Amino acid sequence: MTEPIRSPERPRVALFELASCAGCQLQILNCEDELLDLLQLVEFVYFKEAMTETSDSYELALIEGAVTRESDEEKLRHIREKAALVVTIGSCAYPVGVPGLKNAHDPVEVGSLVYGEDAGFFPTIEAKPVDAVIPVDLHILGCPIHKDDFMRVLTALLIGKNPPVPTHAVCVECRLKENVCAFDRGLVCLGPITRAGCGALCPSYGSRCFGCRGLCDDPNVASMEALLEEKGKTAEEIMAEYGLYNGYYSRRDGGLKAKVAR
Amino acid sequence: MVNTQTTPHGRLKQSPFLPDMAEIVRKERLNPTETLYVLRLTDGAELGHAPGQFVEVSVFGVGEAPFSISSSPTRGGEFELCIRRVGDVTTAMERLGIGAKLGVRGPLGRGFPLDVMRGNDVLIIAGGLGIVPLRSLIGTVIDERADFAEVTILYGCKSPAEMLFKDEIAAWEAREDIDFRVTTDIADPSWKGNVGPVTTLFRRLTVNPKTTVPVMVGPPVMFKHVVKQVLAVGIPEDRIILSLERRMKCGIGECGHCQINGVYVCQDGPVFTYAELKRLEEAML
Amino acid sequence: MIDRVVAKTDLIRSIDRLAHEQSVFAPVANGPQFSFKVISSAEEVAEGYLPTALPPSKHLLPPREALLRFAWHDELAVEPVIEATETVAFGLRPCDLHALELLDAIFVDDKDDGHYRARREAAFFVGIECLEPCDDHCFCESMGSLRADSGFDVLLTDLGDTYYVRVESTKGRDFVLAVDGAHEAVYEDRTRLRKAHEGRDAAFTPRLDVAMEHLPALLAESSDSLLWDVLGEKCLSCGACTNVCPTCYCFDVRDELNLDMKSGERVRTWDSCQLEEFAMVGTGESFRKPREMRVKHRFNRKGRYIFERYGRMGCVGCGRCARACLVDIDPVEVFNQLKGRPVER
Ligand SMILES: Cc1cc2nc3c(=O)[nH]c(=O)nc-3n(C[C@H](O)[C@H](O)[C@H](O)COP(=O)(O)OP(=O)(O)OC[C@H]3O[C@@H](n4cnc5c(N)ncnc54)[C@H](O)[C@@H]3O)c2cc1C
Ligand code: SF4
Ligand code: SF4
Ligand code: SF4
Ligand code: SF4
Ligand code: SF4
Ligand code: FES
Repeated sequence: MTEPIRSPERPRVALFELASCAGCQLQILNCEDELLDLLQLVEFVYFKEAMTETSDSYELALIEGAVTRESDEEKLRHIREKAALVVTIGSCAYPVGVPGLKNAHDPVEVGSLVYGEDAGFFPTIEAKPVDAVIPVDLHILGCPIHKDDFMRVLTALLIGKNPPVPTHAVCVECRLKENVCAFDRGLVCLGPITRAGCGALCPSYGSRCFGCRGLCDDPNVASMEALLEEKGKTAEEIMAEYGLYNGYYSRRDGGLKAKVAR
Repeated sequence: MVNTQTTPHGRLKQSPFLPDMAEIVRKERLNPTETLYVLRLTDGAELGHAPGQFVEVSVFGVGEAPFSISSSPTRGGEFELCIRRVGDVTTAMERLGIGAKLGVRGPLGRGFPLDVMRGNDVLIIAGGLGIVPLRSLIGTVIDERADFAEVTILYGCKSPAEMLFKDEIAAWEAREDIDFRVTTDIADPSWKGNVGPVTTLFRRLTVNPKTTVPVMVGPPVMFKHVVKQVLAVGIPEDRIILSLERRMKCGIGECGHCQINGVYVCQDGPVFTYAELKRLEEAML
Repeated sequence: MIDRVVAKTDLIRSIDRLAHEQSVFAPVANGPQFSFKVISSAEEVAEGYLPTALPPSKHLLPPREALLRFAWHDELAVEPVIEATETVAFGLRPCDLHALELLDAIFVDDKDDGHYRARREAAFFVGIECLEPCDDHCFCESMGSLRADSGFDVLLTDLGDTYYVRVESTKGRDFVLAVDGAHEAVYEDRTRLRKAHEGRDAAFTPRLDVAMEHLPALLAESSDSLLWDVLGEKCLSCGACTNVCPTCYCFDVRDELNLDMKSGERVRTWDSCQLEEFAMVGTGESFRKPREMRVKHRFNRKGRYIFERYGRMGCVGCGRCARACLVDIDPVEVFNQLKGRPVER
């Protein structure tokens, strides 16, 4: 009777990639020191593409990237059926980061800009977060994710504990770092409504929060917008501000406020 | 258990967070979600609790959570917890086997005011999991039955399947010196007893407001209704006893989580009189 | 004990020496802000600083602190983590000294929390008096914490090129005797001190419309005030106000398991009553869900609950929360509006 909390099996983990830069996978591969430990805890089955044969068997599916093609949606539904747990990694998968930027533009225009004459062969749809297609158990957030975050989630899942996901805003971590607030540096910042967990990375390096981790649990979006307006931002500028990472939800009816109400 | 450490100043220091060690002696699944744990301190000491007090239980690596002590101190030696699976600690506990080690801090908090009850009529009202701490009180009342006048127990649960401690309940029901009544919100085909909320049982009682001490533990909605009923029959506010539940992290009045207005549930409670709570809007009574 | 007078340059040299020998915790500039840090030379110390971004309580009650260490070897082993380094905290303002005394009353006198107490006993406090208001947000005078009478080993008063040093402990005496040229305060020094205090008393004017003693009653009768709804609408629940507050001490406790899955720590971390999760139970119900309830709770702790329990005010008027709040929720405004000043929406 030692170490009573861990289940004896080594769960199988599969990784899938949708539209993304693969930067988050790189973060996992960068867990050099921890990787050896990690491989004792889980069995890693790396898939670049979703397989449809019956051989694909895994308990935990990690999904990187945003949904940008009809075929992605099928792929996701298949994964959801196979996996006990679906966990997204990175801002592309949720709340849709860089791949979502194109949403603000006409899809035909985007298509011909990227693929020129061949645009017709690459049908793309509006970039969506994974949870707009299938239920997701957990989002590991960030652009890119932080390896410590990834390891913490994995160990928690292994001992059957709810992974520690902060519910509060980036400001909490930012103040603990004694950063000079972006608002006191003449900038605006989405920290007050963005989910913590990054250690207020961007403000700590003299920048500001762009909202890459999506909304926190209890954001006061109305007050945030009033604050941005007070700082001289127009309604369009506020939308552009959200658009960087929270575009998918802020462009729906009612904007981010409606997302909160849901 | 070594509970102290030497500091640079050479003095002995205590950590209020260092638990004693206990082991699981026995485990019994009562329900799909509720399990009874019989624990013993590994150093052989008695827990030394009063009915209504609680302990903070540690599953190391997972966390710590507060649970009422369900057994009566009059039964000595081992002590019992009845735990519903809801989250990290409670789920981890279900996976532990006999002999597994847990941390236990306590007993903590203020228990039921036995001195107020002695010589008086005791009216125990339990809703759902509220039976868990009240079972400790019931055990004490039974073992020291001569100290109390009339003893009435009302127990309400959602469905017959959710009823806890069925064997003991049968024994309480069989006793001549206790008026025990049980009801469920929804019946199933096997159920022959009362149906309806616990307030329906109360309505059928005749209570003497001068000598009755009502003691209630249950969900917030139950408090709302039952408090109204016992006030209506004329029982004074400072003799209405209830036990509350809030999020807890320290159990010793430090962390702030369990606060109800200016009151710490962990330290000033969990047992209160209605008089102490009625002006506290956050008590939600 | 005998008060002394030291030349500023001599004291700074003494601090510099200490900083090379042991841990010295002092205010350091960070852009327009200041932070308490362990310094390596006296040059880093900021003079005439505004209340620091985080309060000095972070030394006694760190934002993250291990309480226990546990490991499974052959058996489960659990041990408390009680660690303290002898530290000189230099340049504590009166407001912060008052706040630290409150924390002592709670963590030492009432709870006897060994983790806190070990650090408190290994700490040496050098206070420094304020002779003029630090900025528009401070209201220490109204909260009775402009004048520090205890809670320090020595207290400095700036008399131009010298400091008047009030000595309150034997450790304090040793500290001041180690400063070159320290001499006993004589009649003229005391006169200069009195002048400095008179100047201070003239420079600080009351900012609250309500006497501090009446705050608990004011808050008790303001439970239904519409002001809470107004504040609840504005508040971002960002937790800045509680993080920066020198009297805030609420914490979370959780276990962190190492990757070997065989060892770990139980840690306590700062928490905030302004966050929705603070009063949430396992079943998902939060006992203080509406934002206005959370704002109301904070101000009641500051002006009422702490006082009722510990006999000391839970707010020392340092103004940090007002400086940090992005939507201008300021305790001076809040208390004055409860007292009857009009509320601007
Ligand atoms: C005085 C008291 C007596 C209790 N007695 C019992 C009992 O006899 N049987 C029983 O099944 N349950 C009891 N509870 C409720 C029990 O404490 C929670 O169900 C338990 O904390 C959930 O822990 P978890 O880690 O499984 O859940 P999670 O949701 O993972 O919670 C994480 C942590 O939050 C805190 N927390 C969450 N919910 C509660 C809560 N309801 N109360 C206090 N802290 C909470 C705990 O520190 C917990 O470890 C009691 C609560 C209190 C305050
Ligand atoms: S910089 Fe941004 S995250 Fe940091 S405190 Fe200011 S608003 Fe919050
Ligand atoms: S500060 Fe904001 S944008 Fe930067 S990493 Fe954190 S959440 Fe993302
Ligand atoms: S700092 Fe201001 S906005 Fe943030 S939680 Fe405090 S009162 Fe609310
Ligand atoms: S409430 Fe505000 S002014 Fe009062 S002590 Fe805390 S931070 Fe300072
Ligand atoms: S609030 Fe008062 S005591 Fe504190 S630094 Fe400002 S002036 Fe000094
Ligand atoms: S549980 Fe920490 S104060 Fe009550």
